[in-house]
Amino acid sequence: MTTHDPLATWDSARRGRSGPATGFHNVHLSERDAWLATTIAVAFHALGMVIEIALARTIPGVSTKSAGISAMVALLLLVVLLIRRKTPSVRLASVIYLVTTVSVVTVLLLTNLQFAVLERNWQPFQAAKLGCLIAAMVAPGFWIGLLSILAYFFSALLQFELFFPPEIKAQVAASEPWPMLAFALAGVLALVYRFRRVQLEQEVARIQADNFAIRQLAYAFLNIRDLMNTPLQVIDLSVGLLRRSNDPNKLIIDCIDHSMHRLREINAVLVQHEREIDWQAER
Amino acid sequence: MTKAAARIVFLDDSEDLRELVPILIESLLGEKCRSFCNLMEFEDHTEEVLHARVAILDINLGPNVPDGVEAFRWLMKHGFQGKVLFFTGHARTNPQVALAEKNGVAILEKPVHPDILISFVKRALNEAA
Repeated sequence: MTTHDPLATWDSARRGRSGPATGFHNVHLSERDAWLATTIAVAFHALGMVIEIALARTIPGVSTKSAGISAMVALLLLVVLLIRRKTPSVRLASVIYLVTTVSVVTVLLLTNLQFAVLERNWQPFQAAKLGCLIAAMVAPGFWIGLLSILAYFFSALLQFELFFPPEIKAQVAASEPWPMLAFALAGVLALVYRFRRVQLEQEVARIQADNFAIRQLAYAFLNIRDLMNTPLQVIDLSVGLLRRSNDPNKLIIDCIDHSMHRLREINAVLVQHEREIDWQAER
Repeated sequence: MTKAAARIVFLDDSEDLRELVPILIESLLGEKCRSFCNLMEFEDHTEEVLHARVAILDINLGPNVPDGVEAFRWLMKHGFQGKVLFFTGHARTNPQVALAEKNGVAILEKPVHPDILISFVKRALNEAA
């Protein structure tokens, strides 16, 4: 009969159960982090629309209506985020983030061509490019961030390819869509880096929690061993004395000896893990 | 009747061990062994303890009392000339015990076979002679 190592068995089961995270793309932010990120994104949305309105008002012919509606949407979302801040949820944060992305993309689709035609020094698709980078920094989830970056990129690309007249393309955006593609790729890379880092942080936290748990278990074993050793020693010495007595019952003493041998094996298993513990000086 | 001074002193909080260890030592080595339950008892019998050749010390002597390491320090402070043997449940995990071991103090981890305990005590007596 072999002696099983309970700690090793437990450790093995634990590794099999939790294991390393499957990939950065499946990493979930905490409810609070997702909520905060979405709040920043929506605040940026609201601020961006105010700037958009201010810019549009300086250029006759550019409508401020869509930006105004989008700013109202952003304010409404901010109110929801503030009201629900005590009970944050990743799912609701993701929905709000999607709404804010759709709202911004819609405004850009409606105003890009107007800016391209009416503003003399219009820099093509600056807002969409900025959107790609912001999404990488504050999206509440990897897939939602990727979707947001793709929305900014493809909405601008399709608008540029399908709806921009050739003379406007040549006049204000001759180098597009390559700069736009570069921003989208930069956004994706930044998003991957961010979620890879979150994955590593979560992995470190998980390992620390596991280590804490196993140390607690090892301390429990240590205490058990400490309590067990003196009675074992008493039995051992008693058997030794009985064996040397004038009338030793060898059969009974051998039975006690066998049990002592088994208990020593268990003790040896506990000793093995006890030595892995960093003892505090005060113990 | 004059009692011969014990050449071995034993410090342990277990009453059973305080009974058994002297019996074992006396029956197998023919040496007297005197048991004590804590450092205060050591202090009450300072002369007898300091004249012993071997001191066997448990580490954990119960809650809120000085432990075996404190007893070891007390012995060193009072110029104990004999050999010290730690006899304890989880010896080497205590850094102070590990340090004492590096300085030549023998350590026995409970539970130990009676023959091993006797051989350690015998060796300590020979070294202290």
